[in-house]
Amino acid sequence: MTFASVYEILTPLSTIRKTKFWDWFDGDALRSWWSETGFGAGGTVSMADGIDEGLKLVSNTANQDGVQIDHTGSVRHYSHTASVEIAIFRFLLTTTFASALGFRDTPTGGTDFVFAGADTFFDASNFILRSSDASSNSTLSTTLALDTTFHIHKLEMGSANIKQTIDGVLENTKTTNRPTVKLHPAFYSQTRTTAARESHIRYIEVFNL
Amino acid sequence: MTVRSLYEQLFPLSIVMGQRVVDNFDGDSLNDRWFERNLIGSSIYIMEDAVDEGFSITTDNTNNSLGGIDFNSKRQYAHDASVLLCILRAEGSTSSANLATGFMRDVTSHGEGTEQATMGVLNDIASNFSIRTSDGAVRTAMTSGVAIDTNFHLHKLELTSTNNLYSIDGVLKATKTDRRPDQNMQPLVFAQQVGTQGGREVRTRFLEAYNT
Repeated sequence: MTFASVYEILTPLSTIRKTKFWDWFDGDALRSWWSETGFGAGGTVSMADGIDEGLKLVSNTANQDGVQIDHTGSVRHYSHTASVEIAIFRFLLTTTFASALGFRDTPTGGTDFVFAGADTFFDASNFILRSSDASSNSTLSTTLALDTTFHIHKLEMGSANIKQTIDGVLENTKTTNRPTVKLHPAFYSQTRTTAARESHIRYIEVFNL
Repeated sequence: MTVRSLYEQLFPLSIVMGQRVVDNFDGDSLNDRWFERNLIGSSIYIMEDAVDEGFSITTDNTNNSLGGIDFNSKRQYAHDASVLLCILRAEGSTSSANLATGFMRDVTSHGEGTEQATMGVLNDIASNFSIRTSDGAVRTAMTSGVAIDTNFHLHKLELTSTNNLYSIDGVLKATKTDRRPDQNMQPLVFAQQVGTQGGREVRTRFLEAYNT
């Protein structure tokens, strides 16, 4: 079956599509629709020169240094109760670090957020799902051990829960401490020791339901 | 069935998709994924103000003037497992010209010493669209058998572990097995006048590249 419009590939014309974007992280430079936010002394963001390696985020070397790509805290198009985020990413090391895909209210700080990925402070062995309703946060572990290969991660923000899928397999359904406000997408890489940590992201797609 | 994610139109979520670029060459200016590179002379790069004409690269009158757009040596595509699709045409004269697209290793030198696989109007074969490849030592060309014209055509290049395939408008026209690239590559579109012919122009409306 062929389509005359991209619209009709994804949505019937009887449905008014909501906000959606995707990024292949290709070419010479990061698209200007992204902002870069540093944690501590920050880090660097650049396109990788390697097959299928996409964009690389490298933290600086002090403990808690990190860098994030996001849509800033003032452009929040995505619903905390009806949106989806899909991304392909990987880590170059799996010890003493944090790196994840998610949504958040403000670019930094402990406000409303949800992240799927890794944070060895909370689980040194497996991928996790972590979320906050601005007053409290909590974490669920997955059954999948941390590794350095690319995986496809999916977050579904529903009115009753958050679903986390990795490589097409549902890992978590989280009902506690979910965000309560509109959100923007984010992906970050942060060190939890005194050495740099690096993550690569190849693709992201975000849309409201 | 309508699936809401683009990803699931291309792959099931159980398959991790490879690197991909899609550019429609639309709007006011070239997307910042591209680097405009004047190797010889000073080419002109503009979005055309005309129906379906996309983006244009026009060389100046410098001897062998050569300009192109590339990924500034971010080489994310495999020499033996990738595809490039491009809608492209020559505007004006096609003689003594290279008006082409494809993959290249070192975009600071288009010589035969850099791994490459390009297709379109190539001066090696003056009458027909052709494919040209280099393994970093020797560069050779193969004709498509399709006469060069100035219409838009859909050019497709497929790099595999055994050959480089060149299709035009959905029909396979050349299967090249010799002198194939053997290192990571980046996409490019370029225009060159061979000699001092008075400028040569290529226009492109769409480019997609991906690893298979």
